[in-house]
Amino acid sequence: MAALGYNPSTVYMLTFTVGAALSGLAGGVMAPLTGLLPSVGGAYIAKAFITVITGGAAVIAGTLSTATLFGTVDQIVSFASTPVLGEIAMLALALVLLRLMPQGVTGQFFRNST
Amino acid sequence: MSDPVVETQDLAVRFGGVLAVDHVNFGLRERELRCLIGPNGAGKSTFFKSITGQVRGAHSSGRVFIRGQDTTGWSTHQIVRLGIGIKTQVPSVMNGLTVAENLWLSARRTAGSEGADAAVDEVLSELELGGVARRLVGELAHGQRQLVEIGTVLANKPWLVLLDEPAAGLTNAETERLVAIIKRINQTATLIVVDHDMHFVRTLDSWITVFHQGGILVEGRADKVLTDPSVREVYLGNRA
Amino acid sequence: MTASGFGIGRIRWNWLAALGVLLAVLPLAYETSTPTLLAIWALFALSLALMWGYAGIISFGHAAYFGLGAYTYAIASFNIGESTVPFLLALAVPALVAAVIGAMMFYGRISDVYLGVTTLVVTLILNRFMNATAGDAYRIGNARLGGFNGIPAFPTLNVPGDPTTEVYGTAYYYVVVVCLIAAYLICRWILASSFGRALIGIRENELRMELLGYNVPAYKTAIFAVAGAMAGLAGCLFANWAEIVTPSVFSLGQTAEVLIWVIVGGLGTLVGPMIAAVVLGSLKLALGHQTTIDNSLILGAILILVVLLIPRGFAPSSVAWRRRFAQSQVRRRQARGKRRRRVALQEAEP
Repeated sequence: MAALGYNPSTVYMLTFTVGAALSGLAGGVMAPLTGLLPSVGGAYIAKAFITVITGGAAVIAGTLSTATLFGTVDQIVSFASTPVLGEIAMLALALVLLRLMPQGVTGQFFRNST
Repeated sequence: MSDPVVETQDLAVRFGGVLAVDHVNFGLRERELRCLIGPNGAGKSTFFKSITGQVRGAHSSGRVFIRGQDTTGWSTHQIVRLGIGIKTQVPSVMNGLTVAENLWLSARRTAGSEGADAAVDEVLSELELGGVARRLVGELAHGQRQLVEIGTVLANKPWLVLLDEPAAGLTNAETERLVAIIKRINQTATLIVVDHDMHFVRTLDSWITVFHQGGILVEGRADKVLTDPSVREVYLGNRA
Repeated sequence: MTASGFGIGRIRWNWLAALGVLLAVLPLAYETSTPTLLAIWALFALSLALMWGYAGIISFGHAAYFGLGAYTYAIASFNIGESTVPFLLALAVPALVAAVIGAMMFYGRISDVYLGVTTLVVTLILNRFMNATAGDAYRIGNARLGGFNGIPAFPTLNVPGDPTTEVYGTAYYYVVVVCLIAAYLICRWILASSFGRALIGIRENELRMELLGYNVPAYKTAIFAVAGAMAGLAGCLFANWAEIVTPSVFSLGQTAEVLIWVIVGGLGTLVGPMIAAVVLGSLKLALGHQTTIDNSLILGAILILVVLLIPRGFAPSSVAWRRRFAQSQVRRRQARGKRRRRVALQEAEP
């Protein structure tokens, strides 16, 4: 990209800023639902990271598919048993997906989507 | 063909909707030097990768035999252990290590830790890389890096050597040197060379297999193939 | 190929001896509880430094094996009573689990960030599971897993064969230090062997190593298991130090800390991360005592500063500084030599 005339550092900075802004938006939407503590962000770091990476290269299609999948599995298993088992089921599913699709979900399916 | 050392039977490779290799039957004799040529997208590199185990599984059908052994579906390191040296299209060396260390890792597998140093010295002198033996490969010029990669291929004394575009990015002088090296290797080993550089291919003066649209168009001695009108047509626009 | 090839320096035996002496006399001048903990953390850092720095395997969940070592020891010693077998199990179980998970990852060709996520998920599963094991129903043999509160009051280390003589205090400090030095020497031995050289080659270019006939997934699984065993040893020693194991040993915080130690200390060296573990660990403990500034704030700030200013960590930078210093000395000597020769020539002329 640098050879094409773009400044990679600026692109990274802008991307990071937009990402941070989106996270802030998500937090703002959630605040009335869950209440606030300074540590409230921490619980979501791991899950968000796992969701995004398992989604694969396609930003929207990938994250959307894994987020939906994980959220659904988590809630269904939580409802059927305990919230802890729900979380563990979600994590175990992530492991299985990563093993079967080493490039993420959109590395395997929906390859040319955004 | 009497007892081919490399043979493919009805080999086909499909990526999505494209048939990259179209039911190819290929045979190579012991101690032969064979060049695979053809325009971009003809399927040479995919065919090459089918033999080296880099392309296999759901994408491919048909069989590959090396010295009579059915190696279809084998993983790359298993195939290599039959005594094969492979140089890839994109140069593949350990940039963060020195030339000698690169060669040592290759030699050690067949010569053991004790014999590896001697094998490394042998390759260094044969390829005239002695002067840069302690330099990091990442710091070398492209031509020298290509040579180092060929060195790692030779250091474990393979009987079959597969080179994918060894002349890419080399100067004319370096290409001449490469031809001499290949001729020397051919005295004891069988070779398959894939390349685009027509001057290089012509200087090698060997049997040529021409690929076109996934299949073999024509096969024969260099002088015959390179003057064949169908080959000329396939390369239309190329100054051969 | 001499031991100083492949970017690994020779062992400085005199430095090691000096350090050994220093560690041996430390208890005379100082209390041993904190140094023991710091040595345990250094061992933990060493395990990741070996795997990440030399084999190129990144793990966002290395605390999993630390925790497995701790819990295995606690559960086993509860059930067995004597500590030798539990100690060995605390090495074997993490190694075995690491081998299984490693095989699953490496034979499945998972790499880079996907590897990081997989390792993270494993740690999270362990953490969540252990947190929820409160109540009598969750027990292995005699040991109740205790959920959030963990397992307290298990038999700690005793002299092998003699369950009544416990090893604690200064004696335990020496045990930990010996383990640390032994682990370091084992790491050096691995790196000097053909196995270690192959790992370095794999870190540099996996494809080329595969093309040279090396079974890359097998090598990676092996080193992953070794690093798991070492982390498990650290965990077991930690369990004996703390005399309680809680799910926090599997926490994200623990795994983040060891990553920070390796980054700040210098990825690609063994000594750097160990020193970073000791320095940052001491800092964290010292800061923990006061309440003016939150200690995570300071540690976070340190990480940011290091990443911005000294991206390769301290150890490689210090090697580079030393080389530059040595080169400037050489240049100065050459200049002096030239001047002397010029003067000699002038004097020689009539």
